[in-house]
Amino acid sequence: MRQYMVFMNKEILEFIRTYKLLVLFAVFMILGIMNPLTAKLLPYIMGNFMPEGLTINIADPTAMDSWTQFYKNVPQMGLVVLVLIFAGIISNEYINNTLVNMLTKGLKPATLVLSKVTVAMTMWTGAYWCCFLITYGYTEYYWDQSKGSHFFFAALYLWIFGIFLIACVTAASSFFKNFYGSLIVTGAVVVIMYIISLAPKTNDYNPLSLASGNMNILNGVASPGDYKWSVAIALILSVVFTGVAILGISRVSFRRWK
Amino acid sequence: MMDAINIENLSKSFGTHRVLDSLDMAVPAGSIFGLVGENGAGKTTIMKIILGLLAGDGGSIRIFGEDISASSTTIGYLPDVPSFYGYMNAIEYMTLCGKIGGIEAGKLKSRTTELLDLVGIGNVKTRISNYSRGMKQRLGIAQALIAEPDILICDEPTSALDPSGRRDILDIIRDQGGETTVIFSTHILTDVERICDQVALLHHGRIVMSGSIEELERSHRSNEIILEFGSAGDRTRFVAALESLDRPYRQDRSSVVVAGDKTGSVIDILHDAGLMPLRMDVVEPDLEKLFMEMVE
Repeated sequence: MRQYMVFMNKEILEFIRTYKLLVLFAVFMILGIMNPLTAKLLPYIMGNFMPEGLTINIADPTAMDSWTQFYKNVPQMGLVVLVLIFAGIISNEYINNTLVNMLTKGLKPATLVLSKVTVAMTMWTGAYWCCFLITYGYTEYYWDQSKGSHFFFAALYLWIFGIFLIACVTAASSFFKNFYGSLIVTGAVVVIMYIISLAPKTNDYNPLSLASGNMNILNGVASPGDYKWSVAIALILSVVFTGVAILGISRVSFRRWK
Repeated sequence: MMDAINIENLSKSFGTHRVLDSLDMAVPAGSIFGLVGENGAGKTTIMKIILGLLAGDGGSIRIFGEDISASSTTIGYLPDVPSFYGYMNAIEYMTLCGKIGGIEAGKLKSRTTELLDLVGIGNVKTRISNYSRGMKQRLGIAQALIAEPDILICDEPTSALDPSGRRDILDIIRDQGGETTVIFSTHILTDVERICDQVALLHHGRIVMSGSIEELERSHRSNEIILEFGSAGDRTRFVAALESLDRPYRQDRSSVVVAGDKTGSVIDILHDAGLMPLRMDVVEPDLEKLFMEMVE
């Protein structure tokens, strides 16, 4: 437990001093502001791009347009930034050869992985829910949100998908001595989930549904319970990926640790 | 004296390349043990296996009598190119290492200050990313010593340092001997002669010679006598005399080197040939000559 806390503090310091924390929060806060703003300005933007003389009727934006932006921007931009920031979570230790000093002091591979994953997930949690609250606040200010349902569950599921991605990128990162290996593996996992999702029957179990079916929950087309298997599989795979990351680091050392 | 490390029949291959070949090695407790070998001889591989960072293919390693897999002996390690978290300063890094290594909080601060002063960077407050190679080497030694290790392993700690940095690092390592067993790998033989009391010569994955430096020099090689002559004719006559007596010798541009510790016999040869050299020196064997002899 002592080593876990100590290495978590080291990770937090690293994210602060290498500006990764700043970048992560800045991106998600900008997204949080951008979602309602884009929805609000969309009619004006569309109007300005129309050829002169052509008139179209664009419905006034609603709260659902703001949330549509949220569930489009966060998976498409936010999650990409998240993966880029954490792609070197373990491989950077290999590349910079900084792990040797820690392992020879008796740092256990499991402690190292768990402390890194805890910090990464905490940062994702903070940045994501800040983004959600900013979007929620502006949307509440500009529009009536009473027609939406299960705001929390819709957002929670996307958060769980982020947790799943962090575990995936951590596992991949523990097996590569470069930044790109973990990016390619994580990308491949997402592509495989996307290919599987082409068979509609699999969507109840596919973790990718947690990042694509959120508007269905908000609109009342689906209920939160419809995604229970996707949630369970995403969480189980997150645990499995974390275990894989521990195995990845354990390859570095075979000596029994104190 | 008990062995701190005892290696028997250790082998290690990388693919088809056999780096260690049934290697046996014993490091006496409290000694400063020089592991000497040319680049690629397997020095770093031995160290990484002792540290548990690599697994051997066969053989056994015992640390203070315990099998390596069950040993809880604290081992400090200074890699050949020490790497750190560049965004930290030295105190932060030492504190991290101390806490990971299980040093009590009350003792850690004083131990950190003591070690950073010892290696001469106690007053440096900048981040490690701004350190020179020499400063990193000093911090590397300090971090290796933070957990008061029973064994300190230093992998070519002076290979990229300037003369004064090299001298300082060697002095620090030498001061660790006695309480701590130090294994020190290098291909700079003068460094070994300066601080080590035991040495092993590694060649083609095997220890070809080991013992104290004095023992090795005494038992494996005799003195050499170097002679310089005033003219090429004198030199030719001397060489002819050596050949007629079947005495081994070698020549370089200005001198003739005669192997053997019988100075008197060389004087007899000179006397019989009526020769008077310009210079005649008796050179005692050193580690470098010994190493070259073994390698060649």
